[in-house]
Amino acid sequence: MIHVLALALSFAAFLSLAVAMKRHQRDLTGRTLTDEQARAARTSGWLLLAGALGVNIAALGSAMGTIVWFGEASVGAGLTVTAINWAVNRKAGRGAR
Amino acid sequence: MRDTLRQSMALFHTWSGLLLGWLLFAMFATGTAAYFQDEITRWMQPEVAGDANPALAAQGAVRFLNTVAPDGQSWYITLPNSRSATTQVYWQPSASKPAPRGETSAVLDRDGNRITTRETRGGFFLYRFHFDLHYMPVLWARYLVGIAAMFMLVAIISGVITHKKIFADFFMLRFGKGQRSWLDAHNVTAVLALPFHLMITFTGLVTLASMYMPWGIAANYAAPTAFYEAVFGRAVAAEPTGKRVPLADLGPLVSAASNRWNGQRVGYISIANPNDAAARIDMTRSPEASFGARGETASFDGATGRLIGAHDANGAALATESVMIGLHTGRFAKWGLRWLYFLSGLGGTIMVGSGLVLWTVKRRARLPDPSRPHLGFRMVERLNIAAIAGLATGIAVYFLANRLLPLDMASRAEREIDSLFLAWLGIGLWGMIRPARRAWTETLAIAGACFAAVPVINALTTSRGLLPSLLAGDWTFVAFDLVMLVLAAGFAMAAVRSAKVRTKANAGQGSRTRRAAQKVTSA
Repeated sequence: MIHVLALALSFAAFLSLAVAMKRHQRDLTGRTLTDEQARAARTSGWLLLAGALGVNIAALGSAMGTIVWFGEASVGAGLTVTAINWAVNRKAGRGAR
Repeated sequence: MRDTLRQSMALFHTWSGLLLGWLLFAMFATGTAAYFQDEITRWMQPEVAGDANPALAAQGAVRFLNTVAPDGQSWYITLPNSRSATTQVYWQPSASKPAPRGETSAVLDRDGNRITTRETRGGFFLYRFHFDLHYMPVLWARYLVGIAAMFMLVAIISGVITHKKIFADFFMLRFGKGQRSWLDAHNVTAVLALPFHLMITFTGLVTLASMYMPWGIAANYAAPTAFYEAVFGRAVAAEPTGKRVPLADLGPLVSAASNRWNGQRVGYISIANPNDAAARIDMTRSPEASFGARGETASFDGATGRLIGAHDANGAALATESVMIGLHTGRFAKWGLRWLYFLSGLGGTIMVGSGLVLWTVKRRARLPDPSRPHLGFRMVERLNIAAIAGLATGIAVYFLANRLLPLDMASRAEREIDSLFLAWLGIGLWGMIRPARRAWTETLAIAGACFAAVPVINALTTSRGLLPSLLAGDWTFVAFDLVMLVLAAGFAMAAVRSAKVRTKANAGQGSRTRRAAQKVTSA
């Protein structure tokens, strides 16, 4: 269960970081964010990533927690890439219709 | 100034990556599989089921060794860990007449009986191949692998310097855009698992560091054995007395050693001068019990069973090396982390593969005549097909051979390995005689078909197919078959995509010639 939570946190973290970037905003949210919103997204992304590390360290100890965190961060980022592609394809599909 | 650095790094990245990329691809692919080497071995020995108890396994191994080599010079026993069920034994008959390894090693079941049906080297072969290669002396292989790992380290660092928009492109993966897509795939797989890639390459070099750089030891110790004695507490074997004393019962000794290490398993036992008054038993803690791969050891007098010494792998340098090797091999990882390791390794494999393909994709556009590339280009193209589709097919065929070769075949384990390389060679030749683009589609489709065949053949030849395993809750077998199906789907998709690219490229060429013709006529 603790892995699901930590993985969800790192997925959310990278989604926030992606939303904070201009080139992905339109695909993920359908609009461009204000500078303030983008900054908030970036900050919460880093905080979520730190949170995932905290959860892992609390559950598994500092050594094992850090190792697992690196692995889960890679998977979280990979899921974000998939999510962006999914969003782009969905939009392309709608556009074609 | 900064741009010239970047340009030189780009050049460096391209050529260091290409030169040993084919070998690196094979190392990454088989090394990734090796994270599940015990599970692969279990799948390849479907007749062996259940878990093994280390103390009972040790007793069984001694029973077996007493029948084949009661007067041997030394015995080596690798006990089953929590994921495997078999014991591996190796013995040295006598100092005067060394025998080939095939005749002095055996795989035992948990009761100490030699497994004679369906002999296989299982996942262990894939593990060994990723640094020992095959059909060549191990020493050469390890130097070659070390050079490749060094190039990899260079490629990673120069790649990071070259890739100036590393954070801007962090999430960029666009499909169906030709060269751009290949670059995206290369970047994304590299950047997302960058900590893993750096760690695995560096620690990989560390695992063989004392072989690559022996001078530190050579300068400080008279002989390598003196170094091992000082660091690991291994005494040089005493001369046998010639007085025959049966070996002490290993069962209680394994339990005693395990208790010393807070219940962590014993992984490895070596016995010098068994059944002699001067017998000595050394036990090493199982590497799966902690980050450090180099375990604590305990030594017993072989005749009386008395504890005569214990050694903890201590000292900062040794602990660092031990943890680095542990991180590389991931033996401590429970199944969740093991899958993360596997996924990261898969990412690394795709990174190397896409990098190799990228080399040709980038250059094809710049060729003076794309339909007739020069020799170097053609060679790289063909070697890419052989390295990527060939190895994939080879691994699938290795699993198929395990199910299809006669169970009692002579040197069956070697024939399984030969099947892998024959399939690899076959795909390599296929890639050479066919037009390159067509060859990609065909060989990727063959690889996909071979992976898809694995669960089917498994269900037909054993009682442990996907459905019965699912019903029995046998997750190792279920997961193995599912991974085969996922790989099959992946290669099938790659084949379809490459076919699409081919038709698009042909159409593009057609329209270009038409346009050229129009230009000529209008002029």
